[in-house]
Amino acid sequence: MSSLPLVVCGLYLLACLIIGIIPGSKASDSAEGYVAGDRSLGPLVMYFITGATLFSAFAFLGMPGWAYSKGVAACYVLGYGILGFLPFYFLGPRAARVGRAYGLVTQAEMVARRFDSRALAGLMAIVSVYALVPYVAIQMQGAGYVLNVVSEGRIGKDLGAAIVYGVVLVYVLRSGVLGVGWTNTFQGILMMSMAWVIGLYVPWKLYGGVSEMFTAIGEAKPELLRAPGLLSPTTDEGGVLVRGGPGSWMAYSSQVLVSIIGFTCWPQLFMRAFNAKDERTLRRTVVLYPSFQLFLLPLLFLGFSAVLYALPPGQSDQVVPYMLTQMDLPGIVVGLFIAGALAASMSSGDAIIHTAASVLVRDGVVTCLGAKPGPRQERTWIRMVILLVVVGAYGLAVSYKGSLVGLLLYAYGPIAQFGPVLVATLYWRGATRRGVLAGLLAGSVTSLAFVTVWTTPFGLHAGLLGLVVNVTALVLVSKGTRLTGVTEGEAFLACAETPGA
Amino acid sequence: MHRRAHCLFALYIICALAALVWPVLSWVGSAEAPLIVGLPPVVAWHVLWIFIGFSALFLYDRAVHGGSDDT
Repeated sequence: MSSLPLVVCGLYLLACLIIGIIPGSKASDSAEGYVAGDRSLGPLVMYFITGATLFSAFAFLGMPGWAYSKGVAACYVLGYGILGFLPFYFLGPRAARVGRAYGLVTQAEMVARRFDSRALAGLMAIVSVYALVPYVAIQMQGAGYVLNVVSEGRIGKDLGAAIVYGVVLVYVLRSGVLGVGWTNTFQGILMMSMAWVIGLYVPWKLYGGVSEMFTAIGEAKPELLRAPGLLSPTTDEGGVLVRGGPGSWMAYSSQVLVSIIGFTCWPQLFMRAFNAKDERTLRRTVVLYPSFQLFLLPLLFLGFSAVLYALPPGQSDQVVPYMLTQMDLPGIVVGLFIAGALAASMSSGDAIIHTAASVLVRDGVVTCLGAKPGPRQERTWIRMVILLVVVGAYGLAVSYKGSLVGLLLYAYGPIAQFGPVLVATLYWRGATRRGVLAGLLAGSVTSLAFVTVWTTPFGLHAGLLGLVVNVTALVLVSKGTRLTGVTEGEAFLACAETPGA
Repeated sequence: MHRRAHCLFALYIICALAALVWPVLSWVGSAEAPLIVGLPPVVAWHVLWIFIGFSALFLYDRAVHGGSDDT
């Protein structure tokens, strides 16, 4: 293979660096400018920052890997995306109103404001970082994989991840959310177009078309096209991937449900409510979101196209870049696809790194511990924590050897516990501080326990069990601790309910 | 008018949720079946619901907000 794909990747990284650095001079010096972009993001940037943030390395690598190894089990990504962003249509505008009125820039800050609780902000900061760091690690792994494959092993996975995230670090440190927004716009356009071009071209080249490809797979390996797909694969002694038996409906359905609830709760997404110029922009972003959802379809095709073609490497996540480099494709095409995969990794990774650092400083240090830094000092602290987050995530990325999607599902459990908290904060007058705290704590501990200590019954997702405990504790403790006729945060709720407040 | 839109939209959410998990999805995708527009039935089913989801939210947004900023 020529070195052209590597040159294309290099040019792409240079373009990201330039696009990411330029907006840094436009934001104010305050933490609000750095974290919330002075609440100035219009429809175009909001659309791409939201969509590109949500579609990550796992969309470009993990999902095709699942299609290749587990068949239609990969459709769970399409499934949860159909309803997953919907709660934001209702929660987002309310969050934007209170954000504007009280100067809030994170979701934990919002919850803490409603219930006047520092402990809640601290707990949400801990849960957020617990889930966000593995998510960044997924993105780093993805970047490392593709550079390793496209360079035919000359660039090691760990070095590849370090190069790509070195670029991310520079523009996130320099420009904050505005750098994230503008690079996401560029990256979103690149990855959507590349996904469609390559996702349709490869099945055509190998099988004569998408329909012909599924017909061939249906004849040779029909179990891959039967819902709910197959169990996770294993690798044999020779490092060759061996597909599992039929999957479990309980596991599949609970994954979809937890992902639907957890989708909106990711802090890097929810915080967009505080970035948008107005409520109409927020609602339009949700309405237009299915256009991003559709771009997963060609990536699914790519994964299936490898079923009867590629020599399987040890990990299913690498199957698409591996196959593309083995095919007789023009170097520019391979390079652009790899750049698209890097775009997917970086567009999520940059937003998550920025969010994790903002959450740690704003929710953990300022709101929970009560520190009172000046606007510039707070911005400096966030930049220092960004460095810590990148180093921590990099350590996890180089030491964790499992599947990308597996790591994502692990992260969804604790984040889904924010769902009941956010609804209670913005909608429920009967919710109390103790109720929300009890629900979040009980749900997070239950979810964690079923991941690390116990095994869930019927293969259910640990996050779903956590949600049952969470909602039960939230309702019962709130009812038990609410003083008659008193609503905690009445002014806050009134503000959330009033358009244009 | 808004009440009707809210009710219809709530109905859509219930139907979509049911359509994406067991048991409804198992009726669609478990059996051997011919391809639908070139796609396996379970993939075609999800694509259909993406379009239904977009249409439902678009119509709901128009009905409730009509393009304005209020909620």
